[in-house]
Amino acid sequence: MRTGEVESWSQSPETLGPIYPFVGAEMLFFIICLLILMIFLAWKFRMERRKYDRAVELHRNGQMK
Amino acid sequence: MMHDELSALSMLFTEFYYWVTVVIMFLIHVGFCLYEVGVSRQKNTLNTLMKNAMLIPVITAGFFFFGWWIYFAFQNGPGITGGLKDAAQAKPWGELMGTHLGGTSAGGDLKDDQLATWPRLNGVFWAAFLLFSWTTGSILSGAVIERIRSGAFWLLALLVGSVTWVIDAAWGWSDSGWMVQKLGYHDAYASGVVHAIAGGSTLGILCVLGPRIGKFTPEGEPRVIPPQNAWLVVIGLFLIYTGFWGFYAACNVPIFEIQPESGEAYFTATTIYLTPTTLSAVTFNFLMSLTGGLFMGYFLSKGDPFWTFSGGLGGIITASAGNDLYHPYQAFLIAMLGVWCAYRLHYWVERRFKIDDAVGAVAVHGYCGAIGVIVAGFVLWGYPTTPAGVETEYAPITPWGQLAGAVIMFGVLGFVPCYLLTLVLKKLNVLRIPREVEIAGLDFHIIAEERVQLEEVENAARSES
Repeated sequence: MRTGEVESWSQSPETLGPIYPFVGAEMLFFIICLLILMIFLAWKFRMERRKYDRAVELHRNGQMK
Repeated sequence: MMHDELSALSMLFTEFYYWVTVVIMFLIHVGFCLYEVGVSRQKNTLNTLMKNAMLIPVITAGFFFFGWWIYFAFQNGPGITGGLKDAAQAKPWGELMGTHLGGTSAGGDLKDDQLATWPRLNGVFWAAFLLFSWTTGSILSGAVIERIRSGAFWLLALLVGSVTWVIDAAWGWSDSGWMVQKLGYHDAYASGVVHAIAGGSTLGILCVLGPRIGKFTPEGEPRVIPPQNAWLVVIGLFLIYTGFWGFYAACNVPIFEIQPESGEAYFTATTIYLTPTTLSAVTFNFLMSLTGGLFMGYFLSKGDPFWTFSGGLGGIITASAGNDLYHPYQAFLIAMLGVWCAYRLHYWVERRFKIDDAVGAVAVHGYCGAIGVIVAGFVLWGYPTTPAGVETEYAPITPWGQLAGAVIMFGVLGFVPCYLLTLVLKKLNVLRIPREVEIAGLDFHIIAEERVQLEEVENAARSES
């Protein structure tokens, strides 16, 4: 089982290019990570809206000091 | 070596490179001081500061006296892949531990290759490792604040900083350590060899030391003890990030001629294992693993500053085992996974076992470090570990090799020795401060003295006017 393309560090360095695992899956990883960024931002917008809606409600009820 | 200009330049560049990393790594310790003082309560500030700061001379002395020698001498176990190795450059009474120009040996017992390199590199290489030693001590320090006696802590820090972490580095963080040869253990930026062992050691201490007074309700529910200054805590962590750059650079060899089968000269940066990497790749991965950790820390804690910044650090630590090889996207995702696991584990262990870890050190360093080592076994499965040009074939990286490595780091060399030593210190009644002092505050005598001094000054001012 091998996740990378390097068989030996003794092979000629001229034959070594990308040495990270799962060469060829870069687009997939890019999409996953981009989605994570977008989900994080969307979550943050929702969380802030809920938080400030609650804060305004407390303020209107005279509970926010 | 110093007669040929290019070789001399390479030697001096390497010397200067490690020197710079030492300077940058100092910031880790400034950060730890700020961080711990920020977490502690006002009544314990100065004691907390001095307890942490004084690990510096304690560990430095121990590392000079015996730690450096252990790193070279213990790489075979000893008794697993061979006996004790020759470590002339690290003998505490040896001439190479002093100022030396490498021309000749006063004792006549040094080989030419030892004279060619060690005089110029020994001090800076020792210093880079020393800063890692201080880091292991500082990791212990934060978790045990506000109730451990400083003397007991320094002895524990000496054990971890000058003995056990050095043994684990000899075994798993050298180009010919037995764990690298037999298990294919790979841990380029020290997830296991520094962080998991320090986290395991901390857990061993905490199991015996016990929680701070008032940390748990009579029903066993944990209470939050807020930090005296959250801003100081966060700035401290930020400084630790900054110093961590030096740590990463110091984990590499800046320029090395690897000897491929082709026979053609090839110069590159390498890991401590003398396997090729680039500082550029490491820079990508450091930043992307920090990013993944920050995102997950912020998400889990809903923006709590302490856990967000701790998450960033935990993310880097998780990905460190394979950050010489991962793609940046992989470093990002691995960081997120590590922080998610560590955050959940921290609270589970706190509730289940009543462990009071004041700064989450076991989680951020221990769990993230161990998880990072294990994850590397899957993501880097099958990668070679034998350095170029070395005849003996080492085991490749595998999940079971990494799992065994994580158990050795966290458990065998981490948890067990510190648990046992802490038990001994407890039996001798030198471990924990008295209850009355803990309630009054560790700085009580300083506060009382200052009050007397202030009164004296005010009385003098009144009578003189």
